[in-house]
Amino acid sequence: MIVLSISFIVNALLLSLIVRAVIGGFFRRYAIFYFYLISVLSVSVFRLAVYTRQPDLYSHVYWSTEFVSLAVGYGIIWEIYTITLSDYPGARAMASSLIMGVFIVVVAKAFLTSTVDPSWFIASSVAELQRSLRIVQAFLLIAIIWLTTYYSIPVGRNLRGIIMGYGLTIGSALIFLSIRPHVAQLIPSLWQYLQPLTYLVSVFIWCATLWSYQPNPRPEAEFTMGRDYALLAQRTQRAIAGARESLLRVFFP
Amino acid sequence: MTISFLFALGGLAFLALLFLWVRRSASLSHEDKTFSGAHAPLAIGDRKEFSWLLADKIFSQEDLNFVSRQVSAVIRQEFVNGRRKIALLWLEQTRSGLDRLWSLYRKTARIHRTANLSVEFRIAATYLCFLLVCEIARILIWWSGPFAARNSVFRVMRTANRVADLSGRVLDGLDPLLLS
Repeated sequence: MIVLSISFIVNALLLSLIVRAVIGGFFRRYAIFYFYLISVLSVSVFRLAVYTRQPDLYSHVYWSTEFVSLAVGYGIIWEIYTITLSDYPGARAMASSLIMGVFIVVVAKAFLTSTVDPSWFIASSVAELQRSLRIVQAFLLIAIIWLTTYYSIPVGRNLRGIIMGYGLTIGSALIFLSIRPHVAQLIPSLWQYLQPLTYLVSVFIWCATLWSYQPNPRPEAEFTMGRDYALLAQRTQRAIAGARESLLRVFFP
Repeated sequence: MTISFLFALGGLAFLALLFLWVRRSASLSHEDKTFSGAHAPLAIGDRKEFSWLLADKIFSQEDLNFVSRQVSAVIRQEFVNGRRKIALLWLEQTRSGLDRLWSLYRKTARIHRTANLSVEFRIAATYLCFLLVCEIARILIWWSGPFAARNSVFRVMRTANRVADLSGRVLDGLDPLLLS
């Protein structure tokens, strides 16, 4: 009953978020994110229908539909990269190299594992596969976090909310998928409530940060003749200072 | 079990990192209006703090020898204490000067395709190295006095100038009119 109530609240909040974005006219700004919300909402309603009418099928449907949100989740990460780095070509070039690095590591890891154990992919459980895909998502988010920190790229409230909420979903999924086989049998009730509650927190974060549109701060783009002159003057000054220092070092080694 | 535990731990670490980032980025949500890419080369040009001559004078062993010959041990000690204060202040200024330069470099590099990944990593590694040697120098100055820390201070200077040269070399390749 509690799980159903949580699910109902989550769905109501997701719906209000989507409606709010449509009314506010910023649905298209974060199109993939809202597509994700729609897919989560649809899947949730579908699961609820299966749960009430065909409970035997629920587990199968649950794990199959988890891949839908996971796949759209990659789209969200792509959208985060696109919006965050749209005004920063230098950082974007660095991001391409980083993503390529993550991709190479993932492919190399999969290749090595399948070489050592050819039945690995078939033998992997759905949960294990999901966990692996979540790990890749986590690394991609870490890369964007590192880039924004390193280049001091300001992130707006909307985007910060998307990263925070989706990051929480990824992190908690990673923890749950890892400890589930061990904890679910020990404390089944806790396990039952913990994951929906965590997702509820994510939805609350999205509600708090995406209630209205707040664009990403843009870098200053101004250049004046005065600055041009200052630049030239400073460069000359620098050259003279360098020459003077070299000269002084000759006389006072 | 162990691998699952490690993955769970990784998930927790990821959440902690996310939390720290959110806290930090909330304070950075507005762009610094005073920044212009044109400031970066200016800052590189304006690096009086990295002068070898000044460092040589502050940490001069000759000064200590001269004072030691002329005055009593009490005054000598006062002289050392005074120099220690100046040395720490100088170190702090050198560090903040390079921090400023580093910050401006990154703010320029994010907009312009200045360097490739390897160069960027080299500059970042040199900067990290600078922070490390700076910390070592600070401990040495505080612990054994400015004159004993002379060598480590020159290491700080070398690393600082290396960061400035590396970043300067990258930024020098930019067309000033493109800096904005």
